[in-house]
Amino acid sequence: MFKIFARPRSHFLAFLLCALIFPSAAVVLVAVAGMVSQERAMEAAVSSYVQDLAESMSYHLSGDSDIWTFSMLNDFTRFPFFSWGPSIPGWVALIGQDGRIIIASPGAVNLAAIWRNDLPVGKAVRVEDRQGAQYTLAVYPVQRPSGGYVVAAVSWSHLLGGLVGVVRVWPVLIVIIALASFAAIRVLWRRLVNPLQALASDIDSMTLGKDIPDELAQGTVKEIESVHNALKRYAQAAVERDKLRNSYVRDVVRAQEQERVDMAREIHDGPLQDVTALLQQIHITLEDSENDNERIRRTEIIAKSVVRELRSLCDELAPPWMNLGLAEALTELTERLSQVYDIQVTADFDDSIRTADVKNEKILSLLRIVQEAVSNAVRHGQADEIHIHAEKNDEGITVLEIEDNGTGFEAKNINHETLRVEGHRGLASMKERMSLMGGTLDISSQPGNGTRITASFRA
Amino acid sequence: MAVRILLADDHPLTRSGIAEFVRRESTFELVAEAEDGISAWEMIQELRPDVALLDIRMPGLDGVAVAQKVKNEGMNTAIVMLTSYDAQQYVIASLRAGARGFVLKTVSPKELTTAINTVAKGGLYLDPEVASVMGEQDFIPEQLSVREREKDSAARKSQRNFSSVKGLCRLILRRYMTSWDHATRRKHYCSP
Repeated sequence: MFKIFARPRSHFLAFLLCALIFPSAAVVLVAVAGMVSQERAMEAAVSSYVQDLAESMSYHLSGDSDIWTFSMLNDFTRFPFFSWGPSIPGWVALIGQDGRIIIASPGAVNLAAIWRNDLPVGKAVRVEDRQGAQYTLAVYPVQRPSGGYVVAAVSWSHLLGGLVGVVRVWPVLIVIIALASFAAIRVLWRRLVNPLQALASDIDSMTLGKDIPDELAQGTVKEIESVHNALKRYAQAAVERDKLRNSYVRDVVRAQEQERVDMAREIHDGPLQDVTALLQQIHITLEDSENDNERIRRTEIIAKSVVRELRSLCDELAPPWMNLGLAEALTELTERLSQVYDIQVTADFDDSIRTADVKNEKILSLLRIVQEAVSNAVRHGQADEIHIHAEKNDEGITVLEIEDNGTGFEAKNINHETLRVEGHRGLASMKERMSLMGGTLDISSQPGNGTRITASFRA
Repeated sequence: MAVRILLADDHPLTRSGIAEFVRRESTFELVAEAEDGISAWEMIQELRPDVALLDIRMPGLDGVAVAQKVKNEGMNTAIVMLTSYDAQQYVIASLRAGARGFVLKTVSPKELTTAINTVAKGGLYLDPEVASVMGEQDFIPEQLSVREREKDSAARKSQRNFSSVKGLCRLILRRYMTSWDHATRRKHYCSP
């Protein structure tokens, strides 16, 4: 039983069987035990009853005379016993030496059927007639010269009535109860366990952010139906919440990127141009001054370095070259990354990518993903060769692959929320960006085999 | 004869700086200044300058698009991109669009003069700062030449186009060879 509770899933059927069969079996057993002990008690009572009856009758009838007097017989019939008639479940008979019935109480009609010459005298015995009806009877001799016996008997079928029949149908009853139990289990299984299992798998799918299906197994009990409906409402709310949160994240990311793009443009059109103009004036001043002016030379160097810094700041915020198109932007990025990390980053593209019209917003996301992937490959995977490949497949989906020769890791394909919870912020934001673009990002990696990141989206 | 120059840049301060560079050179004549791409294109059509100095990012029409229009029309105006962007993809895009010079706005007057003179004579000029990055690429000349040949319109004179591509090849090859030479020599010294 404990095992059943410990593993409720696999043994639920066993549990149900026990739950239904044990009580019915217990009821049957108790009933049988009760019946048996009752029968025994009754047998004892009946035995002593017939013994007493026969003995007292034989005592009354004993005497010296050999002739049955009328008064004696009168005595016999005066027994309340006889006047009760058939309500008494037994009868008494006086039998002569020759076996003839001299007198008998009503109901003793079938004495002949149960009479046997080997019946013991003075002791109650249980006998059976040819029809199988049971009797307990006692034979006592009458102390008279002419002899004779008093026979007292009780018919079990009269005593117990229908109960005797019931005892015979016990096995049938047990079989019926067992069949009923199986039928009940079947119904329970279909209406309770199956819907519960379906519900469990629905809840499982709910964690993936899906709605709960409408269908419910036929004949499901009302309680499960209401749980299902409640869950459905909950799932719908969760899906709504998910959508809302996604759109919120998308808005935040979009606003962030827009802000960076704006800032980059502001810097490019403002300070960068101003310092460039300043540098041009320095150039002119240097050309005009006859002597080599050390101070102005130094100013030129500073101005040049400010220009470079502002330019790289722009590139970091939102590279202006992303406007050139996906292939060009990715090529530019791979060349820059090769220099930054001093490793080999290469890229090749299909012609379909070179002509693809991809929105700047998406290009920026892809650039950020490549940046993150390369940085991860170098920092965590010690990769020194990274290859980027992009093509449009037959279904019109653009697939971008980033492959490295790093150490790799045990990649688990889990969603970005879990990744974020587990602290993989880089991977999480890559996945997030792709999902916000309406695309997907798969990471396949094995220790020692490098990593391949596949981003798929519709341009 | 003076080289007739058109200057287009939407930023007034840098435009006036470059204009001053050009005016100081006696062999140059600044025929017009434009502050956006559309007026630059109109002025080029009207004035037919020898050299047009174009900023890449301009309102209306960007410098690359203007260069493409000049190329498509088969005009003789040589285009020099004058920009703050140092990305090589801009260089490639500009060259594809028919530009023959690529110069950063931080250029010195002397370099700008060289650039203008070079392109005016049908040559190709890359800003040293950009060329140093470009020089490390070994695939660009082939890629570019194939594309150029493919995309060549009938209006263009194939001879000039070829010469410009050849010029770029030569320049990049020289750069590449230098760095390659450098690398192998270094390798040679390092190996026991």
